[in-house]
Amino acid sequence: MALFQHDNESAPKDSETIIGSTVKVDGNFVGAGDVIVEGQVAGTLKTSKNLRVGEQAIIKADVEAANVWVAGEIRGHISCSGKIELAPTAKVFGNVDTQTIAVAHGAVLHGKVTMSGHEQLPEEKAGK
Amino acid sequence: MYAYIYDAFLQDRKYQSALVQIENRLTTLGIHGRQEKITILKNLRETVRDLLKRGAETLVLVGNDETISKVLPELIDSEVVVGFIPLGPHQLISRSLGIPEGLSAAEDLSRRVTKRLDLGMAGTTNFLLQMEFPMPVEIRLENKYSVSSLAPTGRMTVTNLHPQHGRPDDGKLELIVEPAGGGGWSSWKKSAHQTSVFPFKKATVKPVNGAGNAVLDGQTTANLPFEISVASKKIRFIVGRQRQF
Repeated sequence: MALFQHDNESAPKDSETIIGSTVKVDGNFVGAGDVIVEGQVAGTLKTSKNLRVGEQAIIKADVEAANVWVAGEIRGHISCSGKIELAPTAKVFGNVDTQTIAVAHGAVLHGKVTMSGHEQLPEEKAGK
Repeated sequence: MYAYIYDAFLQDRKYQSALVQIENRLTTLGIHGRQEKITILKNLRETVRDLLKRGAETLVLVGNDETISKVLPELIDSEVVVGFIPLGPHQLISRSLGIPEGLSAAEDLSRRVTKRLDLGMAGTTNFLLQMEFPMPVEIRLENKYSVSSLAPTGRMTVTNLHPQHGRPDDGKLELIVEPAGGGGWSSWKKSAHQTSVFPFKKATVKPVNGAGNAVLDGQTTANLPFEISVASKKIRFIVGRQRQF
């Protein structure tokens, strides 16, 4: 996947946050750059850039990001201005609001999906 | 006007050959200047203070990480440009700034590419390179979220200079959490998904079990708890070609 690929692996990655597998974050996390989660997060998680949720990650938080790739677990609502991609090991329990979604075979998604910027059904417009 | 300060440990015979080569190269490059060699009778910080009073425009330290750490308070907010010729053990600062060791450093010195570098603040004490904590500690970043280690052992450091994470002039520090056996800078790539990196501007840190001290730049200690912050662009430094920023 194109998220987080760097041409020069040895150059510093400006403002990239990595939450490793042995770390827990509690509270209202706000990142300025890409965020990679392999550990645990509880509270809220926001970034204006990309979010990658690794297979061992457990997030109990509402999430907001530009693009999201999920292979772990998220218990919370996800708001994404671009694309969300669920890998086969992804488990999402919460509503998803995004422009584009890709769900791999085997992923679990338990919530309402809203595709922003797309045409709604007449029943939805009427609020039924 | 260039002024060179040679740390006391360089009096050892094993450095004499390298020092002669360096001094000859500086002369060839046209950047030789006043030389001060630190001895038991001559204090490093006082020598720096004296040279600054005499109007040194470029102050070149010859030595290692400890050499810079010892004189850091004298250089903050000064208009002097700081140069560095790394020689001897413990050279994390030169690695982060892309300055080669020994004779090759003279070439970068003559190129005179300068950057204004940030400093970290532990309470009222400055550090240039990094700060290490005794585990376990509680760290709260930006007054918004806390970071804790799920492993009972491991390392927590706050870095200002790091060859792979952040920049020393970006107005931020990085909290790095490594599991036990993480091995510091040399092994961060092998355990990339276990090592955590949090860029931040402000944090508070306190010990979990009673009192504790943090170690700044391997030299100074600071009593916990305290607030950590960034002092932006406090020191003008000549950096090397091999830097990653």
